[in-house]
Amino acid sequence: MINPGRADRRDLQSMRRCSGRHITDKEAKKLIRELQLLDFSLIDTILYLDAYPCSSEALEHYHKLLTEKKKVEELLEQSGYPITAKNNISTSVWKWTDGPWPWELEANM
Amino acid sequence: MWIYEKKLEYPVKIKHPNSQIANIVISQLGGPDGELGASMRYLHQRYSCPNAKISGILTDVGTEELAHLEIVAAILHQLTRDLTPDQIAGTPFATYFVDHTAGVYPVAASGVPFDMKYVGVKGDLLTDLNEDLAAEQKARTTYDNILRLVDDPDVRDPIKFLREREIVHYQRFGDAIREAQENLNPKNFYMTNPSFDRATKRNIK
Repeated sequence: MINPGRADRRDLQSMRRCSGRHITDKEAKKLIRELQLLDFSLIDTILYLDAYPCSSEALEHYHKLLTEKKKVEELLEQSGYPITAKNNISTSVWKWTDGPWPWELEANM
Repeated sequence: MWIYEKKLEYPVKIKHPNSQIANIVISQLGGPDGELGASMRYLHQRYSCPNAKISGILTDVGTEELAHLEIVAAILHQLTRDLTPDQIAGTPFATYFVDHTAGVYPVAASGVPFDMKYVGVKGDLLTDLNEDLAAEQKARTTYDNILRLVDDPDVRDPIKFLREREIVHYQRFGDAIREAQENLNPKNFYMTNPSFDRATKRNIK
């Protein structure tokens, strides 16, 4: 096999074993999808605010999205799925490098 | 500085590997109007930008282009997974494969490796923003061409997302050029190099 294109199954198992709060991979993927949707809206709102910084409507929308995004992100981090390397909540286990990584099919199923 | 977030901006879920489609899509990785060129263009134009608001637009659009580079790379990675040598021999992908195996390397669909010659940084705000408006349209046209050639809905879906983002970026650069023109020195009738003039405190006559 030239490009196995799939995360090592052991990665997923170790992810489950070490999670602080227990959520299933399926639940984690649902939360990541939710995060993607919120973060995309945030990216687009930021670009709009760059061009129209006086739009109070856009600024209000930005804060609403930011609050929602932080909530979902925190839930994922506490469940052992850090979104950035600076949010590895566990003090005993390094979760950041657990697969699958975002470009792999398994992370998107 | 930058911080990596462990998720794609838009999901990529390709069920059927297909190296011939990869051979076409790869142009948006390392081709003349691809995402690598886009991110490098805006992130390097920032430094000579004399307007703080426009520096913000260049930073944020440039950063989003890095996320798009990752989406295109994910499409290529998934299209070329699980291939056997038999599935590669005799296809257009074979010439790429011999140099890069199934690695993701920025080249154009024609096989020419990525070149910074695709990227314009003139150090003049109005010149650079006009370049950016054209660049977004060229990228949109390339995505249109990919959509003309590719049938697989799993590939078309993220390509359509990327195409739409080119249109939004074009709008934001349109806002940026209006901002630049409205804030020029009124004596600078010919709209020449406002960043250089500010740095040297010289007026162009």
